[in-house]
Amino acid sequence: MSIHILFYVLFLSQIILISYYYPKKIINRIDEVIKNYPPEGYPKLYPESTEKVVAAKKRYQLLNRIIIIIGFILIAIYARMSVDYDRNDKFAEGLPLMFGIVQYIPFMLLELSGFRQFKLMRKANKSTSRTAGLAPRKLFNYVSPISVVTAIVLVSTYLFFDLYINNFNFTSDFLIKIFTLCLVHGLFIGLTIFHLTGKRLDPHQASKDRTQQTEFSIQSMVFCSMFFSVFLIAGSAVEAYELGYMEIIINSIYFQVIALVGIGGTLRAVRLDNVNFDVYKADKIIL
Amino acid sequence: MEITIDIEDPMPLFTQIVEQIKSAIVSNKIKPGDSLPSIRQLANDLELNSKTVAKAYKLLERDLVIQSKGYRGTFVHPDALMNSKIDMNGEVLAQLNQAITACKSAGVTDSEIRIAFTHAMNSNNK
Repeated sequence: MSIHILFYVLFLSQIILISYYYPKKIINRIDEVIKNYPPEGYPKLYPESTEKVVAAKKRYQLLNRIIIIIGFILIAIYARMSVDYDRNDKFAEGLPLMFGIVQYIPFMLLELSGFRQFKLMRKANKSTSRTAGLAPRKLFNYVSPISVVTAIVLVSTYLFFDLYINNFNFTSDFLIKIFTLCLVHGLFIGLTIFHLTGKRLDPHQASKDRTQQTEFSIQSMVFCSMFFSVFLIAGSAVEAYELGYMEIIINSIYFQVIALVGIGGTLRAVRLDNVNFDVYKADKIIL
Repeated sequence: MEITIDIEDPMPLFTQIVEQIKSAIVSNKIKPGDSLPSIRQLANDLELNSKTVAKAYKLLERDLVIQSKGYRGTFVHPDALMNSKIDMNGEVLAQLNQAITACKSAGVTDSEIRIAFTHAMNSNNK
């Protein structure tokens, strides 16, 4: 019974954290930007009218509310069904994982909307002047070698641990995990290369802000890699030591940690009062 | 340290990059041994074709202003300060003007001078 209570608390926390708390913070931030940096004073910030921004914000808000309702329905279904199961059984272990993926959809849509805004900004940018720094952007300028080595060690630890508990047999389950690991790290490596040498998405962004954004993005990817390895190690341990009932708990914790590092970290690292909004004024050139 | 180029300036883009890097060295904003961004990074930051930046880097390397160290990257040459100060363009222009004036005084036409110049350049490059 206690494991069910623990799950309710964690799943409730997952719903509130990812679909209520952080979306509310993001919406407050959008409102703050529109209020403090209006289109009249900062026209380059708005390649589209503010009405469209407000409409996108409302869609984002609505989507999160729907997800919260779905979350509560899932808790109710879980409560109804879990009474039939023994506490040591594996039950609905994929629930936080599947629901977590759904919870991230509004954030992904918001990101895509951001990319679209940057594209429109680049299209509207008529400046013939272009600026670039003469300092190379290198990985270890943004993240400590210790963090990168720790991430590599954790991946290696997971591989060794999983092979060890499977008596060094390459099971299909292990190969699927390897494939997922490669896919996730391939994405991280690609994004890191893009941050270091890729095109500037926001044509007006001040170089200091870009440096800060690059630093935060790379650091959060390294931390996500570490948590992913820990999550996989915990998953394998659960299977090996027959702690099936723990899987649902681990899955929920994993999604919340990712939200704390990814979304929470972005909100903490990118503070509005530290962003140079002067670059979006009509009479300014790109810094 | 930042460089700024103007895509509508009549001066070729690669020349703008060369001039600005030399100017940064002369004004001590970047020093011998300092590393420079990769061709890809600079091209993406300036929204230029990487061939343009590669051409600028090639010219700077030829003039011993920068040096490429393979996978380690591109660095400011130890003699960059001295090599950036010499205005070869002015010297070359003065020599050519002198030669053209001499040719014209001797009655050589413009097209004959151009053909002779191209021929001289081609034979020197062989």
